[in-house]
Amino acid sequence: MTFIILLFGFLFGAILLYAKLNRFDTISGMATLDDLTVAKAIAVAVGVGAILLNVEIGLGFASYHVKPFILGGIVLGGLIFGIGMAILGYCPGTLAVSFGEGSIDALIGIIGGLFGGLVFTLLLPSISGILGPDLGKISLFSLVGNSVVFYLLAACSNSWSRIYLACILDEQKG
Amino acid sequence: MNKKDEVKDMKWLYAGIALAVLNFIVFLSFTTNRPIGASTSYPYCADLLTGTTQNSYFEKIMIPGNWEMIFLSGAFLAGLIISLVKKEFKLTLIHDNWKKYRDNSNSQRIIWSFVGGFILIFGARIAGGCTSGHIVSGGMQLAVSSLVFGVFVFVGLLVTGKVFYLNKK
Repeated sequence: MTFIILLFGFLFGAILLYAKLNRFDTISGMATLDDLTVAKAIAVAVGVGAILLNVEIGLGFASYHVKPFILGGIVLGGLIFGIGMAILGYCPGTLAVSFGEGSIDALIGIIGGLFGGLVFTLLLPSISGILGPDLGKISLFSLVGNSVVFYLLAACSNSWSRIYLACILDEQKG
Repeated sequence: MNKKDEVKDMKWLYAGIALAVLNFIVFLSFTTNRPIGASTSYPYCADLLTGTTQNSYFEKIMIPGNWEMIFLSGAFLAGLIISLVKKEFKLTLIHDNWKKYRDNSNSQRIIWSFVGGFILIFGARIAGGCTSGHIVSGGMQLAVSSLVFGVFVFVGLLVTGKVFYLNKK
Protein backbone atom coordinates (compact mmCIF):
# COMPACT_ATOMS: atom_id res chain seq x y z
CA MET A 1 0.00 0.00 0.00
CA THR A 2 2.83 2.40 0.86
CA PHE A 3 4.13 2.05 -2.68
CA ILE A 4 0.74 2.86 -4.20
CA ILE A 5 0.37 6.00 -2.07
CA LEU A 6 3.91 7.00 -2.98
CA LEU A 7 3.09 6.48 -6.65
CA PHE A 8 -0.09 8.57 -6.39
CA GLY A 9 1.97 11.31 -4.72
CA PHE A 10 4.54 11.10 -7.50
CA LEU A 11 1.84 11.48 -10.15
CA PHE A 12 0.34 14.40 -8.20
CA GLY A 13 3.74 16.10 -8.16
CA ALA A 14 4.34 15.37 -11.84
CA ILE A 15 0.99 16.94 -12.82
CA LEU A 16 1.68 20.07 -10.77
CA LEU A 17 5.18 20.36 -12.24
CA TYR A 18 3.89 19.93 -15.78
CA ALA A 19 1.75 23.07 -15.54
CA LYS A 20 4.16 24.81 -13.09
CA LEU A 21 1.29 24.87 -10.59
CA ASN A 22 3.77 24.30 -7.75
CA ARG A 23 5.88 27.37 -8.50
CA PHE A 24 6.13 30.42 -6.26
CA ASP A 25 5.64 32.69 -9.28
CA THR A 26 2.44 30.87 -10.29
CA ILE A 27 0.81 30.93 -6.86
CA SER A 28 1.92 34.41 -5.80
CA GLY A 29 0.96 35.46 -9.33
CA MET A 30 -2.56 34.28 -8.52
CA ALA A 31 -2.58 36.61 -5.50
CA THR A 32 -1.52 39.56 -7.66
CA LEU A 33 -3.76 38.42 -10.55
CA ASP A 34 -0.76 38.37 -12.91
CA ASP A 35 -1.23 34.66 -13.52
CA LEU A 36 -4.57 32.84 -13.48
CA THR A 37 -3.19 29.31 -13.98
CA VAL A 38 -4.17 28.22 -10.45
CA ALA A 39 -7.77 29.39 -10.78
CA LYS A 40 -8.19 27.88 -14.23
CA ALA A 41 -6.68 24.50 -13.34
CA ILE A 42 -8.70 24.22 -10.11
CA ALA A 43 -11.92 25.18 -11.88
CA VAL A 44 -11.35 22.44 -14.47
CA ALA A 45 -10.24 19.87 -11.88
CA VAL A 46 -13.33 20.47 -9.75
CA GLY A 47 -15.68 20.65 -12.75
CA VAL A 48 -14.42 17.43 -14.36
CA GLY A 49 -13.81 15.72 -11.02
CA ALA A 50 -17.36 16.33 -9.80
CA ILE A 51 -18.73 14.45 -12.82
CA LEU A 52 -16.25 11.58 -12.44
CA LEU A 53 -16.90 11.27 -8.70
CA ASN A 54 -20.65 11.29 -9.13
CA VAL A 55 -20.48 8.44 -11.60
CA GLU A 56 -18.01 6.54 -9.43
CA ILE A 57 -20.01 6.96 -6.23
CA GLY A 58 -23.28 6.29 -8.06
CA LEU A 59 -21.89 2.96 -9.28
CA GLY A 60 -20.75 2.04 -5.78
CA PHE A 61 -17.00 2.13 -6.46
CA ALA A 62 -16.31 4.91 -3.95
CA SER A 63 -17.98 6.84 -1.17
CA TYR A 64 -18.25 10.44 -0.05
CA HIS A 65 -15.60 11.86 2.29
CA VAL A 66 -17.16 15.24 3.02
CA LYS A 67 -15.48 17.44 5.64
CA PRO A 68 -17.72 18.91 8.34
CA PHE A 69 -18.94 22.48 7.91
CA ILE A 70 -17.48 24.01 11.09
CA LEU A 71 -18.55 27.58 10.41
CA GLY A 72 -16.00 29.51 12.49
CA GLY A 73 -13.11 27.25 11.51
CA ILE A 74 -13.92 27.37 7.81
CA VAL A 75 -14.24 31.16 7.65
CA LEU A 76 -11.32 32.00 9.93
CA GLY A 77 -9.14 29.16 8.65
CA GLY A 78 -9.89 30.09 5.04
CA LEU A 79 -8.85 33.71 5.55
CA ILE A 80 -5.67 32.78 7.45
CA PHE A 81 -4.82 30.09 4.89
CA GLY A 82 -5.30 32.56 2.02
CA ILE A 83 -3.01 35.10 3.68
CA GLY A 84 -0.35 32.44 4.25
CA MET A 85 -0.67 31.12 0.70
CA ALA A 86 -0.07 34.61 -0.73
CA ILE A 87 2.92 35.42 1.49
CA LEU A 88 4.54 32.00 1.17
CA GLY A 89 3.58 31.45 -2.47
CA TYR A 90 2.94 27.75 -1.93
CA CYS A 91 0.22 25.46 -0.57
CA PRO A 92 0.81 22.47 1.72
CA GLY A 93 1.04 20.09 -1.26
CA THR A 94 3.02 22.27 -3.63
CA LEU A 95 5.61 22.94 -0.90
CA ALA A 96 6.83 19.36 -1.23
CA VAL A 97 7.12 19.53 -5.03
CA SER A 98 8.94 22.86 -5.02
CA PHE A 99 11.31 21.72 -2.29
CA GLY A 100 12.10 18.75 -4.55
CA GLU A 101 12.92 21.18 -7.36
CA GLY A 102 15.39 22.96 -5.12
CA SER A 103 13.35 25.89 -3.80
CA ILE A 104 14.89 26.84 -0.46
CA ASP A 105 11.98 29.11 0.43
CA ALA A 106 9.72 26.03 0.18
CA LEU A 107 11.95 24.17 2.65
CA ILE A 108 11.71 27.09 5.08
CA GLY A 109 7.95 27.15 4.51
CA ILE A 110 7.81 23.43 5.40
CA ILE A 111 9.70 24.13 8.65
CA GLY A 112 7.30 26.99 9.41
CA GLY A 113 4.41 24.65 8.61
CA LEU A 114 5.71 22.01 11.03
CA PHE A 115 5.78 24.64 13.77
CA GLY A 116 2.28 25.75 12.75
CA GLY A 117 1.06 22.16 12.99
CA LEU A 118 2.66 21.67 16.39
CA VAL A 119 1.27 24.93 17.79
CA PHE A 120 -2.16 23.99 16.46
CA THR A 121 -2.01 20.62 18.22
CA LEU A 122 -1.09 22.33 21.49
CA LEU A 123 -3.63 25.16 21.16
CA LEU A 124 -6.58 23.11 19.90
CA PRO A 125 -8.09 22.41 23.35
CA SER A 126 -8.22 26.15 24.09
CA ILE A 127 -9.39 27.39 20.66
CA SER A 128 -11.95 24.72 19.83
CA GLY A 129 -14.68 27.11 21.00
CA ILE A 130 -14.18 29.51 18.09
CA LEU A 131 -14.13 26.77 15.45
CA GLY A 132 -17.80 25.87 15.65
CA PRO A 133 -20.71 25.57 15.32
CA ASP A 134 -20.46 22.26 13.49
CA LEU A 135 -23.20 22.22 10.87
CA GLY A 136 -22.35 18.66 9.82
CA LYS A 137 -20.95 16.93 6.75
CA ILE A 138 -23.26 18.68 4.34
CA SER A 139 -22.88 18.61 0.57
CA LEU A 140 -25.11 19.34 -2.38
CA PHE A 141 -25.95 15.63 -2.40
CA SER A 142 -26.91 15.47 1.28
CA LEU A 143 -29.02 18.62 0.83
CA VAL A 144 -30.95 17.86 -2.37
CA GLY A 145 -29.84 14.33 -3.32
CA ASN A 146 -33.29 12.86 -2.71
CA SER A 147 -34.48 14.79 -5.75
CA VAL A 148 -32.32 13.03 -8.31
CA VAL A 149 -33.23 15.15 -11.31
CA PHE A 150 -32.66 18.44 -9.50
CA TYR A 151 -29.39 17.16 -8.04
CA LEU A 152 -28.04 16.06 -11.42
CA LEU A 153 -29.06 19.37 -13.01
CA ALA A 154 -27.37 21.35 -10.25
CA ALA A 155 -24.23 19.20 -10.28
CA CYS A 156 -23.91 19.30 -14.06
CA SER A 157 -24.51 23.04 -14.31
CA ASN A 158 -21.91 23.58 -11.57
CA SER A 159 -19.37 21.57 -13.53
CA TRP A 160 -20.25 23.17 -16.81
CA SER A 161 -20.07 26.71 -15.44
CA ARG A 162 -16.67 26.07 -13.82
CA ILE A 163 -15.16 24.73 -17.02
CA TYR A 164 -16.79 27.54 -19.00
CA LEU A 165 -15.46 30.14 -16.54
CA ALA A 166 -11.95 28.72 -16.87
CA CYS A 167 -12.13 29.01 -20.65
CA ILE A 168 -13.47 32.59 -20.44
CA LEU A 169 -10.63 33.55 -18.09
CA ASP A 170 -8.18 31.96 -20.50
CA GLU A 171 -9.63 33.86 -23.47
CA GLN A 172 -9.61 37.17 -21.60
CA LYS A 173 -6.30 37.06 -19.84
CA GLY A 174 -4.35 34.01 -20.90
CA MET B 1 0.98 35.33 -19.32
CA ASN B 2 0.57 34.61 -23.00
CA LYS B 3 0.91 37.20 -25.66
CA LYS B 4 -1.76 37.08 -28.34
CA ASP B 5 0.55 35.87 -31.08
CA GLU B 6 2.20 33.11 -29.05
CA VAL B 7 1.03 29.53 -29.24
CA LYS B 8 -1.60 29.16 -26.57
CA ASP B 9 -0.44 27.35 -23.44
CA MET B 10 -3.13 24.85 -22.53
CA LYS B 11 -1.22 23.04 -19.79
CA TRP B 12 -3.64 24.35 -17.12
CA LEU B 13 -6.43 22.45 -18.90
CA TYR B 14 -4.59 19.14 -19.18
CA ALA B 15 -3.30 19.45 -15.60
CA GLY B 16 -6.83 20.17 -14.32
CA ILE B 17 -8.24 17.12 -16.09
CA ALA B 18 -5.31 14.96 -14.92
CA LEU B 19 -5.87 16.04 -11.30
CA ALA B 20 -9.54 15.10 -11.60
CA VAL B 21 -8.66 11.66 -12.98
CA LEU B 22 -5.99 11.11 -10.31
CA ASN B 23 -8.43 11.99 -7.53
CA PHE B 24 -11.00 9.68 -9.13
CA ILE B 25 -8.48 6.83 -8.82
CA VAL B 26 -7.40 7.78 -5.27
CA PHE B 27 -11.08 7.80 -4.22
CA LEU B 28 -11.74 4.22 -5.40
CA SER B 29 -12.64 1.84 -2.58
CA PHE B 30 -10.13 -0.74 -3.79
CA THR B 31 -7.19 1.70 -4.02
CA THR B 32 -6.99 4.09 -1.07
CA ASN B 33 -10.68 4.91 -0.45
CA ARG B 34 -10.05 8.56 0.46
CA PRO B 35 -9.53 11.95 -1.18
CA ILE B 36 -6.19 13.60 -1.97
CA GLY B 37 -5.03 15.77 0.93
CA ALA B 38 -1.82 17.31 2.22
CA SER B 39 -2.01 19.55 5.28
CA THR B 40 -2.62 16.88 7.97
CA SER B 41 0.91 15.58 7.38
CA TYR B 42 2.39 18.73 8.96
CA PRO B 43 0.96 18.41 12.48
CA TYR B 44 1.43 14.61 12.16
CA CYS B 45 5.17 14.91 11.48
CA ALA B 46 5.65 17.77 13.96
CA ASP B 47 3.86 15.89 16.74
CA LEU B 48 5.88 12.74 16.01
CA LEU B 49 9.20 14.63 15.95
CA THR B 50 8.52 16.38 19.25
CA GLY B 51 6.78 13.45 20.95
CA THR B 52 3.54 15.43 21.28
CA THR B 53 1.48 12.30 20.74
CA GLN B 54 -0.44 11.99 24.01
CA ASN B 55 -3.47 14.00 22.89
CA SER B 56 -6.77 13.32 21.20
CA TYR B 57 -5.86 15.39 18.13
CA PHE B 58 -2.85 13.23 17.29
CA GLU B 59 -4.96 10.12 17.69
CA LYS B 60 -7.44 11.58 15.22
CA ILE B 61 -4.84 12.47 12.58
CA MET B 62 -2.62 9.41 12.88
CA ILE B 63 -4.04 7.53 9.91
CA PRO B 64 -4.66 10.43 7.49
CA GLY B 65 -1.43 12.14 8.62
CA ASN B 66 0.61 9.06 7.78
CA TRP B 67 -1.11 8.66 4.41
CA GLU B 68 -0.48 12.29 3.49
CA MET B 69 3.14 12.11 4.64
CA ILE B 70 3.77 9.21 2.23
CA PHE B 71 1.78 11.00 -0.48
CA LEU B 72 3.84 14.19 -0.11
CA SER B 73 7.05 12.13 -0.10
CA GLY B 74 5.98 10.95 -3.55
CA ALA B 75 5.29 14.55 -4.58
CA PHE B 76 8.73 15.56 -3.30
CA LEU B 77 10.35 12.75 -5.29
CA ALA B 78 8.50 13.90 -8.40
CA GLY B 79 9.92 17.41 -7.95
CA LEU B 80 13.41 16.09 -7.31
CA ILE B 81 13.63 13.35 -9.95
CA ILE B 82 11.84 15.16 -12.77
CA SER B 83 13.80 18.38 -12.26
CA LEU B 84 17.07 16.44 -12.15
CA VAL B 85 16.21 14.48 -15.30
CA LYS B 86 15.18 17.66 -17.13
CA LYS B 87 18.26 19.42 -15.74
CA GLU B 88 16.02 22.08 -14.21
CA PHE B 89 16.95 21.45 -10.58
CA LYS B 90 18.07 24.76 -9.12
CA LEU B 91 18.62 25.94 -5.57
CA THR B 92 16.49 29.07 -5.37
CA LEU B 93 15.57 31.21 -2.41
CA ILE B 94 14.16 34.28 -4.12
CA HIS B 95 11.87 33.80 -7.09
CA ASP B 96 11.16 36.36 -9.84
CA ASN B 97 7.80 37.55 -8.53
CA TRP B 98 9.28 38.19 -5.09
CA LYS B 99 12.07 40.24 -6.68
CA LYS B 100 9.55 42.13 -8.75
CA TYR B 101 7.22 43.10 -5.92
CA ARG B 102 9.34 42.84 -2.77
CA ASP B 103 13.13 42.92 -2.70
CA ASN B 104 16.36 41.01 -3.08
CA SER B 105 16.97 40.50 0.63
CA ASN B 106 17.61 36.89 1.63
CA SER B 107 16.75 37.50 5.29
CA GLN B 108 13.39 39.06 4.36
CA ARG B 109 12.43 36.06 2.22
CA ILE B 110 13.58 33.61 4.89
CA ILE B 111 11.52 35.31 7.61
CA TRP B 112 8.41 35.63 5.44
CA SER B 113 8.67 32.03 4.20
CA PHE B 114 8.70 30.81 7.78
CA VAL B 115 5.82 33.08 8.81
CA GLY B 116 3.89 32.21 5.66
CA GLY B 117 4.37 28.47 6.19
CA PHE B 118 3.34 28.76 9.82
CA ILE B 119 0.06 30.55 9.18
CA LEU B 120 -0.65 28.49 6.06
CA ILE B 121 -0.70 25.24 8.03
CA PHE B 122 -2.30 26.82 11.10
CA GLY B 123 -5.14 28.13 8.92
CA ALA B 124 -5.50 24.80 7.11
CA ARG B 125 -5.78 22.90 10.39
CA ILE B 126 -8.36 25.34 11.77
CA ALA B 127 -10.48 24.74 8.68
CA GLY B 128 -9.67 21.02 8.46
CA GLY B 129 -8.14 21.06 4.99
CA CYS B 130 -6.13 22.89 2.34
CA THR B 131 -6.08 23.47 -1.40
CA SER B 132 -6.02 19.75 -2.20
CA GLY B 133 -8.14 18.39 0.64
CA HIS B 134 -10.76 21.13 0.74
CA ILE B 135 -10.79 23.18 -2.47
CA VAL B 136 -10.08 20.39 -4.98
CA SER B 137 -11.29 17.18 -3.30
CA GLY B 138 -14.12 18.82 -1.34
CA GLY B 139 -15.10 20.96 -4.31
CA MET B 140 -15.46 17.81 -6.44
CA GLN B 141 -17.82 16.37 -3.82
CA LEU B 142 -19.77 19.64 -3.83
CA ALA B 143 -19.17 19.83 -0.09
CA VAL B 144 -20.53 23.02 1.48
CA SER B 145 -17.57 23.34 3.87
CA SER B 146 -15.08 23.20 1.00
CA LEU B 147 -16.95 25.58 -1.28
CA VAL B 148 -17.20 28.17 1.52
CA PHE B 149 -13.54 27.58 2.43
CA GLY B 150 -12.57 28.27 -1.20
CA VAL B 151 -14.35 31.63 -1.16
CA PHE B 152 -12.59 32.80 2.01
CA VAL B 153 -9.19 31.55 0.83
CA PHE B 154 -9.67 33.57 -2.33
CA VAL B 155 -10.54 36.68 -0.31
CA GLY B 156 -7.49 36.25 1.95
CA LEU B 157 -5.27 35.57 -1.06
CA LEU B 158 -6.36 38.58 -3.11
CA VAL B 159 -6.36 41.06 -0.21
CA THR B 160 -2.86 39.92 0.76
CA GLY B 161 -1.78 40.10 -2.88
CA LYS B 162 -2.87 43.72 -2.91
CA VAL B 163 -1.45 44.74 0.46
CA PHE B 164 1.68 42.60 0.57
CA TYR B 165 2.79 42.72 -3.08
CA LEU B 166 0.99 45.26 -5.27
CA ASN B 167 0.97 48.19 -2.83
CA LYS B 168 4.59 47.58 -1.94
CA LYS B 169 6.02 49.22 -5.04
